Amino acid sequence: MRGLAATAVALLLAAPGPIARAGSGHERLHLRTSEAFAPCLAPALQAFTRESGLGVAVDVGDVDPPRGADVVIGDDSEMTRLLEGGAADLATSFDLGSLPWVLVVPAGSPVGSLAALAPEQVSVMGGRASRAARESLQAVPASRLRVSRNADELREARYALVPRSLAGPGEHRPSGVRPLMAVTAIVTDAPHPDGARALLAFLRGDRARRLLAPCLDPAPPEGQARATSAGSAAAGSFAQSVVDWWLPDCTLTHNGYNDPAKVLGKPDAEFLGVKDSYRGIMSLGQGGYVTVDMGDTAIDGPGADVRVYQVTGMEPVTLYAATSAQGPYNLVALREDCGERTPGFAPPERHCDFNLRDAGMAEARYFKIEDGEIYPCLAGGTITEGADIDAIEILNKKP
Amino acid sequence: MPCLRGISRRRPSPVPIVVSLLAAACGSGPSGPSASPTPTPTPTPGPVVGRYLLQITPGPGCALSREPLTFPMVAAAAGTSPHPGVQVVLDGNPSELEWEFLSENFTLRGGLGTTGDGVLSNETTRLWIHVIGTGSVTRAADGRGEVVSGTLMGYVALGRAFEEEGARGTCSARDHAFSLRAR
Repeated sequence: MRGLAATAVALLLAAPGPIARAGSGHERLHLRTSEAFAPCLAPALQAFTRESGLGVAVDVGDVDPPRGADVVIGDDSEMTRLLEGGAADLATSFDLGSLPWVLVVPAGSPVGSLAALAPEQVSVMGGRASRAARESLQAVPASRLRVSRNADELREARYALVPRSLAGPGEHRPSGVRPLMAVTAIVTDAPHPDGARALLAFLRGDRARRLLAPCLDPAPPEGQARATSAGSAAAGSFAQSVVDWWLPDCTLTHNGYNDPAKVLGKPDAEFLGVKDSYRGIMSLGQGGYVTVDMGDTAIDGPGADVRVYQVTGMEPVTLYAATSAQGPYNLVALREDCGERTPGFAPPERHCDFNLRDAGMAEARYFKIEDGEIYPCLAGGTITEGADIDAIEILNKKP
Repeated sequence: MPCLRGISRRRPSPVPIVVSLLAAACGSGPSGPSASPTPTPTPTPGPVVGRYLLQITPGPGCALSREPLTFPMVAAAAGTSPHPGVQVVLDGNPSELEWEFLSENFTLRGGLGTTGDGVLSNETTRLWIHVIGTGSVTRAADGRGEVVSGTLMGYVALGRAFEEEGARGTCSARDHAFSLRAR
């Protein structure tokens, strides 16, 4: 990796505790997190150390790879490959809270876009978690853009687009960029698994949530039993048959979930508790797709018209729609992040919503769902490469 | 299986011979004897296989350098089911830049991607890319297939060799351009 991404800054938050006493006398828990979340964690980690006696050292930088950490905390986009590849234990993962992006401008600046307001350089946080933020600034000429992962530099910027935790003096304005979602998990080969479990148990508790609250907005409550609250799934209209599909040969060779029929019917994906072990999904690999016949017709109605259910991470999805199986298939949305938490469903179920209006269509019955992650198959380290599709649902059905 | 499957817009204008070939492949072409003069047959393109030069140009609406970036690539057939495929990878470092195409009716369509490290171009600019590309295959001088003009939809970010992703700009667009020429 380049630049500051490779520079891990270790912050010792507490003296060695019981783990150290049981071991070499110098060991402590290692938590690895990204630049955006590091400023949010100190109060909760200090409280954990006071209560448990376990010391925690915080390394700041890319969370993937975990570089010997016991626990990782990163944005959805940074955690996807860690969790799907098994480097971090999906069964232990949960959301800590979200962190909005803010526009930083000098106090009293007129209303307007950052590109229009800034007479000088615009700073933006770098890294994998900043792709959407950088895309939102794509009107700013590259010569005026400063991409940085240096927290001090970002706080000093007069004009910036940064997570709220890295905003310096000036006026902070809401941004339309998707908030970061802090997700934590235990690293699979954590040197101190007992201590790591104790830390996550603490972070799940009310006391930790209160200590994180000034920095992270509360995460929505996790879904419980899906049958009790998944109202839309019970009454919804889901894909009925596969019209066409394609996965690259490389994907067919390396992925483990290649059956297009798994996208039919209601959402039924499950993580079976063991690395790479799922039920009810089709992984789309590198740019693969599946085209389905919904049986019913979706119409352009109030709110979103179509929902795609996808599991574990927030792999992007591209959606096309048609009124006949032969097409033409119109582009509805390109590489839409598919990581919204789905109320009433247990993790790792996620979804993304689409509006037919974006394709200029009044109705559609056939949908082509295409992988938008587009990660090189030959570099993939999992058997779930690409978006992992569980189901497709019509939200606005033609009467 | 639908013919001419895919998005209905932003398809690059195919050359006339490809249009006629596509129509024939779909069974929608004229049937029966024709009174018009028989056109001189144009040789069909051969397979997309062997060594190529990939050229990528960011879309015209992107506020970043539009200097084309080039990469030496190697192509090979990749499977036949459920549709025939072609794999095109960076010569020497296949997992750094990989394109997986569906190849039918003299059209290539598929996903081109890099890892989080991006890939260094011949021009020493680093490229991070996640796009779906579409292009019509025509016959190269040596008889193989090639794409002279194609379209890319998706994410492109640029940086210098040791810079952060996007340090020289980021742009998501539906009209980035590419060519894949035989070398």
